[in-house]
Amino acid sequence: MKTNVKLITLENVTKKYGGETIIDSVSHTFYKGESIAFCGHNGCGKSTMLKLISGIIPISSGKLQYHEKLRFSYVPEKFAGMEIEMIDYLRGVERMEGVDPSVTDGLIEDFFLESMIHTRMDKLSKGSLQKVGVIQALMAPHQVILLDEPLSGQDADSQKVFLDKMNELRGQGVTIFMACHEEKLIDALSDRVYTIEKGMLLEMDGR
Amino acid sequence: MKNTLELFTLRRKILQKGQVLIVPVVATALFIGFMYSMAPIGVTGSFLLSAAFLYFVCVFISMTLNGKENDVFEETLMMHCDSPLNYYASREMLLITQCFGYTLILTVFPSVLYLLRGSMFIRPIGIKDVILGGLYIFLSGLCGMATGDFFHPRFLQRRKDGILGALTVSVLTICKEGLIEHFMPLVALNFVLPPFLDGFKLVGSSDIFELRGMVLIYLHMVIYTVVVTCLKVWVLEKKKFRY
Repeated sequence: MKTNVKLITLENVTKKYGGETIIDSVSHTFYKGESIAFCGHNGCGKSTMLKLISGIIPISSGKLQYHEKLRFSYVPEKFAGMEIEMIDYLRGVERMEGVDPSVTDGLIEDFFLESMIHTRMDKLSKGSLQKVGVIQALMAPHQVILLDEPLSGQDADSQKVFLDKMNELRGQGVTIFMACHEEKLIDALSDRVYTIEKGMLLEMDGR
Repeated sequence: MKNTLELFTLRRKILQKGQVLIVPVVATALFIGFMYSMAPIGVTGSFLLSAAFLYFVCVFISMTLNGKENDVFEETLMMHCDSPLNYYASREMLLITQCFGYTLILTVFPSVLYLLRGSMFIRPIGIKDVILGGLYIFLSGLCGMATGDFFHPRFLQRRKDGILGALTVSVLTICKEGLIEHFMPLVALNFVLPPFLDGFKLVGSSDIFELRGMVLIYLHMVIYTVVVTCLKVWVLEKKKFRY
């Protein structure tokens, strides 16, 4: 639920790759508790916008301001399959975040991955790997969650679990930024929808 | 600190499950087998050669690890860290422990060999040799790690450029004495290149580690490693990820 507390302000933020402008002089303020969806055609800059907001990639010009100290959780579009068993990776993240193992175990069960915990991540199917990407973000959700095509390749049951968990986090005041195409996901999760067109951020009809 | 240690443990598991270590382990085994089959050999010479060998092994390890990095995976790891410093510290810890492991092999093996077959060396090995020689090997390895890691794909973009950069530094180091002899201003190279071969100049044909001289070389190696590593971390943090 949106509040009046400013969280992140972009002032004339531009991002270029080589000579190409992906994000063009965008100025906007995002508020705590909002759930924002960015949509647009492939390659328009949705994922770039998420990463700019998190500070994980540098802006080319302009100013990005955080109104408080922020930590981000991130579900990437294509989670990387590394040469390590799923359970070893998740336990590693769990220990980094100081999370109780029962939380991780619960998420593994919720997303129907129990039978694959000893499978190497680089051997997992696309959908299963994406679920690992979701679990590592949800096991210790921070103030802001970035979702990049989070339902990609996932079965219907897992999608339902994901939506329930995200709505639970929304209720707790977590701010969500999402890049996706799926109307079902946008309708289920977002307060506001923006398209990115020719580098500009355009708000669609209010929700 | 806990965050850094846990990420280091995760990185170590990934390294162990991957196949990055096969080449350096095999190379080390071959190197030891070859070098210590040529008995009798000089005490200092064996340590200095091991140090030069470890420098190149560590350049290889650090560049291979860089090449295997996946930006998306690293981005998620960075977000699980309390601060970027924890993220970079865990990487350095991994490189340092790798270097230490190989140092142990290259230091302990000749020592054990000496105990079993004293005739291996042209003179008796003392504790001083093991300590000074072992430290020299370790610091040379760290210089190699720092050199290889400096040419990170995140700011060089093409892996070929990184390999070329590391090779250039290493070759210049090997040739620097000759270059300085012909063109004095190149003495500045002494301040920017890794000093992993300076021990050879110091020891000469004496087969003795001279303490004061060695300490100065250690200091140089530490400064090189720290400066190059800090510079690398600063550049990587400034550039962040590409996509």
